[in-house]
Amino acid sequence: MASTARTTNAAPEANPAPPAPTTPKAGSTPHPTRRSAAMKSGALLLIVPAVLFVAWAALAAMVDSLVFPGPLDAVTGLLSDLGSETFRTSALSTVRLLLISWALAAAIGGLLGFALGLSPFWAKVFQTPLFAFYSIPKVTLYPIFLLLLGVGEAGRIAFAFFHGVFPMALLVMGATASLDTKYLKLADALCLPWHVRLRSILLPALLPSVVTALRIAFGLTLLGLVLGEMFNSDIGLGRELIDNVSQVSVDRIAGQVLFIAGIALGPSLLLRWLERRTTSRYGTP
Amino acid sequence: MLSSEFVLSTQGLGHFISRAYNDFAFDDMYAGVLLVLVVATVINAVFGLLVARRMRRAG
Repeated sequence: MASTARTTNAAPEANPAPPAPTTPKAGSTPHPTRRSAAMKSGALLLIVPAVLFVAWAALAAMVDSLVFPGPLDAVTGLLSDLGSETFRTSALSTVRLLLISWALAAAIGGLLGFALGLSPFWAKVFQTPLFAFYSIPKVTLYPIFLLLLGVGEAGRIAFAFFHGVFPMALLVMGATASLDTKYLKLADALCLPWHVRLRSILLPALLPSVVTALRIAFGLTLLGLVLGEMFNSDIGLGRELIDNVSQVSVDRIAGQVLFIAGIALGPSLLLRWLERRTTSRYGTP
Repeated sequence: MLSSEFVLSTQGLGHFISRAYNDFAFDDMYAGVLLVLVVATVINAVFGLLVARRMRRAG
């Protein structure tokens, strides 16, 4: 068994993948080059929003219009919203439904993509319909969701899930289908149990693509949820946005856009970091 | 574009579907949805064919 495990662990290393980054030992200081690289990437990450904020403030000052608030007005509007119990309840509702929809899209899409990708025949059969569903504007189907599931949380979760599940399934299917069959044949030859195949072959090979799929599915699920809340809901950030549009509270609209962008960007950046880490460790997706 | 037509427009296919839903004109609503699906699928197929032809030419 020991020799078996050794052989399977060696299989992914046959790829000319970049060497895995070594983690610093507890208590030791990080390598100066890596620290400076991290600081550089952190500074780059801050430069873009800073430039955008300055450009926004300059544009708002130039336009000097009530319908074009500056960043300070937006932040003031957001702080005023955050002081309201209704807004906080809406924000929490959106985050809760987002997590449920994303988890469902990730689990079902991932499993579906993996199952289809294992068979070249079924991957070819389902590729076209999955791409078709991915490319259609799903907003046009929202009335059908409302008719079938009503104006409750179920309709919003299903609509958001529908946005995220197809990219998840497609990306995982593509990654599974392009898996090097030599490793699977080797696992067959060595009669490896499923958990060893999963740990030593499938997870290292699929992880970068799965993280990419999770990141893309997250953005699209959030988009679907906010759209669903905008059209027909009594609670949620989309509903709050539409309420402020009808009241022409532009500073609050801008503040809420910032808030939604924050909800979208935080996990997206975290997943992007995870994606880079897994890609550098296990190879390109 | 269709999303903006759903929320903030008085014309367009998105507005047509949204208005049909609100007026309980489900025949019109499903017709609008079907039209969008057909248009999206045809455009997708055309681009797919163009890409396939381009890739065949490139070898």
